[in-house]
Amino acid sequence: MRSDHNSAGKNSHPISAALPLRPASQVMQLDRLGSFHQSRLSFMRTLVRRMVQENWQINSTVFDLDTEGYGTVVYEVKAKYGTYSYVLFSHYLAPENRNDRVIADQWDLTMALCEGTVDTEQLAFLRNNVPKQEAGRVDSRVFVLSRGNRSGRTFEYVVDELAQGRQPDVDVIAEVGYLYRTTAAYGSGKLGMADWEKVRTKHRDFARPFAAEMFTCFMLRHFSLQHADYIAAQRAPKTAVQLDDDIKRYFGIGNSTGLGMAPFLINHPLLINQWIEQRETALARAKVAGADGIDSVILERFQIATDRVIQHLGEIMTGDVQQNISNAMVRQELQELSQWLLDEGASIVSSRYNWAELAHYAEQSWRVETQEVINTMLIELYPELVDELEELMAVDEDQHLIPHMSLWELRGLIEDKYDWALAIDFSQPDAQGSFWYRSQEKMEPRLGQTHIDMGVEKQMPLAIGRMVRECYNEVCAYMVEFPQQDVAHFILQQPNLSGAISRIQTMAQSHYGDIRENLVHSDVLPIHLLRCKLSFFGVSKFDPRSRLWVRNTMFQGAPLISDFDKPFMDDWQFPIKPVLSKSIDSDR
Amino acid sequence: MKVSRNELTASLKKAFEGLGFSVGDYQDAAAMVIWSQMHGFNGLKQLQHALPYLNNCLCLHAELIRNGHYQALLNGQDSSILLSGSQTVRLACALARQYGSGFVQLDNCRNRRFIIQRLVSAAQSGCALAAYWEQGSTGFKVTIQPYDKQPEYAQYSLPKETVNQSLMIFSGTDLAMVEQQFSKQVSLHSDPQINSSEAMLDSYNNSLEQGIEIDETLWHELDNLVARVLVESTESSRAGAGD
Repeated sequence: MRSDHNSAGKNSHPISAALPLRPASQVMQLDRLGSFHQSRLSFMRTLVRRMVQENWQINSTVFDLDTEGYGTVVYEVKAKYGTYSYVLFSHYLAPENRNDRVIADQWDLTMALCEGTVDTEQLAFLRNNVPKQEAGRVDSRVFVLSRGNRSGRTFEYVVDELAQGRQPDVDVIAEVGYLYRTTAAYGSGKLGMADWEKVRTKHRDFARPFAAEMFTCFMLRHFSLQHADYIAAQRAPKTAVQLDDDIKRYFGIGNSTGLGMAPFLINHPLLINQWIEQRETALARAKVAGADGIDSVILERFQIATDRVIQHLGEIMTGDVQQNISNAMVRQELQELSQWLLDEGASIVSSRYNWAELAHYAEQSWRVETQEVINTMLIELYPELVDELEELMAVDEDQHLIPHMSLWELRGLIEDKYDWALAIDFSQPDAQGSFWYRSQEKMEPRLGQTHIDMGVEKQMPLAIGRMVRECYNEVCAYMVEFPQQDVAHFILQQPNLSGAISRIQTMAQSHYGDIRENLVHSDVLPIHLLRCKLSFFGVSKFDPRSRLWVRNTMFQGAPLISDFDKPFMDDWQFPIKPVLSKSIDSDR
Repeated sequence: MKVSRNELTASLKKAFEGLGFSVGDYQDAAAMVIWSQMHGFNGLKQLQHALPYLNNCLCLHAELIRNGHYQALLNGQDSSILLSGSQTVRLACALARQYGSGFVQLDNCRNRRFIIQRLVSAAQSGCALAAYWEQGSTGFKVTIQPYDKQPEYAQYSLPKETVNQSLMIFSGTDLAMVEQQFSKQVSLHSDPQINSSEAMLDSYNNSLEQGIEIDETLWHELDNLVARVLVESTESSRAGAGD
């Protein structure tokens, strides 16, 4: 094991100090993208850093709840550049109406994040519309509309325990990880809300991708903790206690994510490229930082992080057999790593072993999931090299066709950048065994089976590989007669291919390009798409419910609002159960 | 009612898809309508007038009639600029790149004012452009410098009414060259009435800040077109969402 590690790096191929970014052929494989974890560049992490560093002041100006906890709450948020209002309505919801799907029409909580302060008139307007969610309308003063449902497993349990003067059992909390889960957070102009461009240009506090949406979920977490305390106190004013702060930090917000996120990734290829490029830049910087050897302090932090991930993965409860197997195998491989770090720490430092060698060994020996855990941990070690990249996560999704490009050049681009698409044999029945469509039910994206389900003629254009293949075939056929012609003349003959050509030409100029997967294959795993995007959001504890949707936890382990003015370590990645003081444990 | 730009874009893309537009076409068409509306050119009203026609015709594009050294003639086949505008401007830009300047005439086309957004978009790749068309007793001229975001839009009184349904696109590496080309083809004798860039920008910023006003009837018409791309929901189709 020891010598394996050392020899893997030293004897295979030399690794230069100035590491290039990993190639698209490696990174853009769907199973790898689906193995990404939260990193320092994830939007929850960058939001929390900003809130703490700028010491945002968040206080409730309205807390109008009845004894059961139903009513209205308004929080005033004073950030660095502006003031905002987070408006929340708490409603009674019969258990049989609690549904996490997009098609639901009632929720326990509904919320809106608004610019400025909210007056009585606006509050009445919001009260009339926010609880309806997609069935209502808001205006451009609103950034985000969201909703949440209680956890059937934890909410009542926690309130009961608090009401009886006890802290809840951390093991019970660990099974779920949250009191409420959000089922949607709409922004970017949906339902009459402010456009992203308005938010980006006018409200610097939220001028990063999904910052306002993440903040809405962070505030839901804050309310959920307050809510449990409040209801317990209402039920048993004489005996109730408040949740311990360490337990509070261990609560996140649950999230259910389904297929709706998948089309977003395919329809925003430049944005996804940008995110991945920054993450890969962070990884390359981390590897370069350790190129001349790893010092003992950094190595010790890496050892602690490894053990923490092992514990984190061991605490994840999921009914998904494959995820359990995967978690167990990653833990096993990380335990090998941990043991090696323990045994060889001194020689690792003295031999000037470096991170590139470890990454190379992991690629040769361990699962993709383990490789990406290690990469995430490496990024975590160098905040001074990584954190500035958070400002580069936004990009305009603007695809441009280059009309004067020769068809020779276009054909060469396709062969070079889309070789993966040309390698797919679309004549095989399985290669087109699925199709994506929008349902009449709230336009919910769904995945159908070709020749079985209705609607193939209305499928969404998400099969990028097939689109490229069709374009390539037409270009080649046209070039037989007009070999010297340009794209402008070609699209006079084939106008329906202008979208494909715009995408090919645009993405060919990006570093990572399109996701390299046939998304209409019978066996496609959309869950990898969801998980990729969720990792950039910063969620943890992936709990797949099928190949089409996944539960996860947001902000678990993150600081509380009351922590904002305290020293901040920014190390809440891979949350683990808190170790409580003896007095709290004995109270139970 | 008011809608956001993103919301309107999403709705328009799906509505054009429902009309049979292909991927590139519906993206371009949505961009043309939105730009026109946000910059004060009543894009939604134009669209409302065009919808009955678009709803009852095939999605025809421009057809190449003649291809000269640096110029080309296209037949718009009585179709909308929403379908043939991109092809026309792209051809003009390709000719300019190859020959230093280009001239494309698109005959027999509708909804010509939508072309402005295509000019703005093409200018971002370094092309200078001018467009000219006549309607009734007015001549319309749009010019834009390479990389500019705001075009100049001018209207001229014509000595007599015309039923001409052509659109001319002039292209080059700089606007002086384009104007030279233009003056060889078109003679305008009246003083222009110019829409200021400031007014366009104010209109845009106001739409972004306050939202875009849309007639509810048109919004519902768009909804009906969007419904064409949706698939009926059944118990079995719910399995395709993870149930």
